[in-house]
Amino acid sequence: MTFRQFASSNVLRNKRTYAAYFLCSAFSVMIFFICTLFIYHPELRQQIFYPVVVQAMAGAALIMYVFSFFFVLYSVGAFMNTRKREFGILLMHGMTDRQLGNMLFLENMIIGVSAIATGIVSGIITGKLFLMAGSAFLGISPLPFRLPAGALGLTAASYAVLFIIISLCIPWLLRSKKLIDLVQSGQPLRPEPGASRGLSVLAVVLLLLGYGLAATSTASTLTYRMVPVTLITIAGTYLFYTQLGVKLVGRIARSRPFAWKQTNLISLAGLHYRLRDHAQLFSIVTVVLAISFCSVGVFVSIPVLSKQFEEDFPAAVGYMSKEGNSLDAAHLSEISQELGSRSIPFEALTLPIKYVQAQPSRADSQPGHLLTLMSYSDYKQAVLMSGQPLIDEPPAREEALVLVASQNDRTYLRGRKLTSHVLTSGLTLQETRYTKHVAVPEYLLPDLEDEHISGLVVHDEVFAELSHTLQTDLYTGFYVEDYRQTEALVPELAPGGSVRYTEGLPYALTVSGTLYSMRDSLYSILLFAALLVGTVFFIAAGSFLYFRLYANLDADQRHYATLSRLGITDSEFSRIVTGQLGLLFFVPIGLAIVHSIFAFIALQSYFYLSIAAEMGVVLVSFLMMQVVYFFFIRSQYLRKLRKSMV
Amino acid sequence: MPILDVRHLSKIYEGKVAHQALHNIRFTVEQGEFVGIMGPSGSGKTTLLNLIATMDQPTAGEVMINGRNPHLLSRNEAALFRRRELGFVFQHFNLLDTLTVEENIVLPLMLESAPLNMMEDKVKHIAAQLGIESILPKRTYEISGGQMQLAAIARALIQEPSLILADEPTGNLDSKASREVMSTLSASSREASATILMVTHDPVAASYCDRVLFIKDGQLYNELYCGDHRQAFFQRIIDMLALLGGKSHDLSTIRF
Ligand SMILES: Nc1ncnc2c1ncn2[C@@H]1O[C@H](COP(=O)(O)OP(=O)(O)OP(=O)(O)O)[C@@H](O)[C@H]1O
Ligand SMILES: [Mg+2]
Repeated sequence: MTFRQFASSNVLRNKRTYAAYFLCSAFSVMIFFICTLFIYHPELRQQIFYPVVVQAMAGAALIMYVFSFFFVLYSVGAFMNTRKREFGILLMHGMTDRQLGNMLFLENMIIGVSAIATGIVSGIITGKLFLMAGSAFLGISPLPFRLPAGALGLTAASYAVLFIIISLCIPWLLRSKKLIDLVQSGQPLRPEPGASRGLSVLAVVLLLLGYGLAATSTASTLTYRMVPVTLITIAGTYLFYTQLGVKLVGRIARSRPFAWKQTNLISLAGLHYRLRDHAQLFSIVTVVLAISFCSVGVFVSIPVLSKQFEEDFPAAVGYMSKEGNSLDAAHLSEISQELGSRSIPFEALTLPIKYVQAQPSRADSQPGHLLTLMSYSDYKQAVLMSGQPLIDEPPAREEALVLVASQNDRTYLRGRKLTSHVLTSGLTLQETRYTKHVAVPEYLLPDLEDEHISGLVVHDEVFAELSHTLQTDLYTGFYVEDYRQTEALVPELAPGGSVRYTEGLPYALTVSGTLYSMRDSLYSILLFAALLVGTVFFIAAGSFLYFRLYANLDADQRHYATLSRLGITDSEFSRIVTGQLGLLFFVPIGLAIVHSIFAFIALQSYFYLSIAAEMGVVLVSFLMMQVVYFFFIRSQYLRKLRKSMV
Repeated sequence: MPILDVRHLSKIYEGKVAHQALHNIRFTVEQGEFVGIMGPSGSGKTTLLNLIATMDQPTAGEVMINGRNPHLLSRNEAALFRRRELGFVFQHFNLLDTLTVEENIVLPLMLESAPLNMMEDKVKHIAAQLGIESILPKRTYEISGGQMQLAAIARALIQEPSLILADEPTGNLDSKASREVMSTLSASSREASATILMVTHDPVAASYCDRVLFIKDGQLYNELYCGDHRQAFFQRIIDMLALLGGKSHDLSTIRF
C-alpha cells in the first residue's frame, strides 16, 4: 500500500466523522461559486444595477471565504483531537512526525479537492436555479445560465489556496503533543466538570448587561455600542455554557429526589459532561447562529424602508431649479412632454424655497448657519397635492415647524431638542414641533448642519417679508396617480433616478419610479446575498453539531449498550436520546434567538416603522429548519445506536 | 423448580459460512447455586450467556428462567425482564462513566422508580456487605478494575434478581483482586442465596463455584461438583481442562 493509498483509505474509513465537514465545505464552495456566477455573468453586466450586484455578491463571497477559513481550521483541529489516539499508535510504531504530517496533509487535501469539485459541480447543476432566484429578487427576466471561466477559476483557485494553507498548518496544530498524551487520550479519563460560582454570576451579569445595552440603544448610540455589546454577549455566552450551565445541571443532577427517578439521572449526568466538554462548541454554534439570524434579519428589515417610500418622495418627479438656472424651462417642458407621451396624467405645483442665514441666539456674533425656509401654505399645498391628509396646524409668526428630511429620520429626532433661530432681520423663530409630512424630497435640498432636518416651515407673512435671503430656488413637483409609471423617465437628466442638490449641477431632480426600482433591486440583491451567507452559517452550525455527535458515537454506543443490557426499554432509550439531542440542538438555537431578539430591538431603533413581523418570520423559519434537521439527525442517530444494542 | 432450565439449546450463526456455536445444550441451575462455565476459546460460552441473558435469539430449544421463557417476550417486556430478573457482571463496560459508583449501583432501582430512602438504605447495606463504602462517591476513572467489578456485583445484587450472569468477571484482574471478587460472589451466593452463572477461563475463579460445566465445540462436555475440598476441586478442574485440550495459557494463570 502506498502512502497515498493509506491516506485516502483513512479518509474513507473516517467518512462518518468527515461527512458533515466535507458537505459543509462543499456547500460553502458552491455558494461562493454561485456568487461568482453573478459577478461574472455577461448579461448582468449591461444592467444599471450591476455595480450593486457586484458589491453584494463580492461581499457575500468574501464573508463566505473568511468564514470557510475558520470553519475548516476549527474542523481540522477537532478531527486531530478525536484521532489523537490513532496518531499515537502510528507514532509508537515508528512513523516519523514528518510522515504523519505528510499523511494528514494528503488526507486534508483529498477532502479539500473533493469538496471543491463537489461544490463546483453542484454549483453548475443548481446554478440555473440560483440565477433564476436572483433574477426574481432583482425583478428582471430570468438570466440564462452561463459558465464563465473567471467564475470557475476564481472559485477553484481561492479554495485550493485555502485548503493548502490550512493543510500546511496541521503540523502546527499537532505540535508539542507528547507521545504519551496521544496514546492515552480517548480513554474515559474525564475529571468531574468544575464550575465556579463567581464566574456563573459573571455570566448572568454579562448577558444582562449586553441585553440591557442593546435594548436601550437609540439610533445615535447604536453605532458605538454595537462592538462592545457583541463582545460582552459573546463572553457572556461562553461563561453561560462553561460555568452557569455546568453548575446548574450539576446541582440538579445532585438533587436526589428529582434525579434519582427513572432515567433522569442518566440524562442529567450525560448532559453535565456534554456541556463541559462541548461548552466551546456550544458557544461557537450559538454565536454563528446568532450572526446568521441577525444578518438575514437586517436585510429582511431594510425593505421596510420602501413602505414609506411614497411619503419620503411625495412627488413622482421633483425638480429643484437653483437660482440662476437657465435651463429650467427646457427641463420642465421635457419632463411634462415625456409624461405626456407616456400618457400619464399629472398635476404640477411650483413653490419657492428661500435660504437665509441664522444664529442660534441673539447674543451670537458668529457667521451663523444656513437655514432652508418654506411658507406654510406652500407646505400645505405640497402635502395635499401628494394625496396625504394635512394634520399640521399653521405656525404663529414667531414659530416654525421643523421639516423632517424623511420619515425614518424621526428615529434620530427622538433625541433632538427643539431650538430657536435668530434671523438677520432680528426675528426669532422658535421651533414648536416637527411636520407630519415630508413636503420636498431630501435629495432636492442642501445639507444643513443638522442633517436630519430639511428646514423650517414658517408663517406665510414671515416668509413674504423675508429680507437678506441668500438664494431663492424654485421647486416643481409633478404629481401622478401611480409613481411607479415614471420609471426610466428623463434618463439623461437624471441617470439612476436622481440628481442630488449637493452634486453641483444647476438643478436637482428625483424620479420616484426609477429611484424606487433601483432601491428595490438594491435591497433585494442584498437580501439575496444575506440569505446565501446566512444559510451557509446555519448549515455550518449544524455541521458542528453533527460532527460532535459522531465524534462521540463510539463512546455513546458503549454507553447505551451497557444500559440496554441492564434492561432499558426502547421508549426509555429514545426518551434519553431525544432529550440529550434536543438540548444539543435547541439550547444553542434558543440562546441565539434570544440574542437576536435583543439585537433586533437595537436594530429597531434605526427604523421608524416596526420590523417585528419581519424578524418573527426570520426567526420562525430558522427554527423550523432546525426542527427538521433535528428530526432527521435524531432518526439517523437512534438507528446507529440501536445497532449496538440488544 | 429450578431457577434456570436450559432445554436443548442450539445456536447457529448465519453468515457466509453458517456456524453452529451451540449444539443441544441442556442443564439446570437451582436456587442459590453458583455455577461456573468453562471451555476453550470459541467454544460458545459467551454465546450461551447471551442467549440466557435474552440478548440473542436461540435457533432451537428454549430457556426457562423462574418458569418463564424470556424469548417469547416482546422487546419491551424483555428489557423489563432483564431489569427485574437478571443481574450482570461483565469483563468490560459494566459501569457508566458519567455516573458515580453509588449512582451506578442504584441504577436498576432508579429505573424502577423505587422510593428514595429505600434506594439509599439498600446501597448502604450492599456497600457495607461488599466493603466498598469508601468508593461510593467516586467516578469510574478513579477506581481500580477490581473495585469496578465489585461495584458491578453490587449493582447486580441490589435488585435481588433471580439470576446473576457473569462473563469473565475476573478476566482482567490480578490474582489478589480476582480472589476478592470471587469470594464476594460466592459469599453473596451463600448469604443472599443469589443464583449465579459465571463464565471463566480461570480455574482458581472456577474453584469458588458449587459446580462447573465444561463446554467444547458448542456441546456440553462434562460437569464437576465441588464437594468438600476446594483444593481438590481445583485440581480436578485443571485435569479436566487438560483433557479438554484448552490452550496451555489457560493453565498458566494458576494462582492461589
Ligand atoms: N455474532 C457472531 N456471528 C458469527 N459467529 C459468531 C458470533 N459470535 C460468536 N461467533 C462464533 O461462535 C463461536 C463461539 O463464540 P463465543 O463468543 O461464544 O466463544 P467463547 O467460548 O465465549 O470464547 P472466548 O473464551 O474466547 O470468549 C466462535 O467460533 C465465534 O467465532
Ligand atoms: Mg467469550
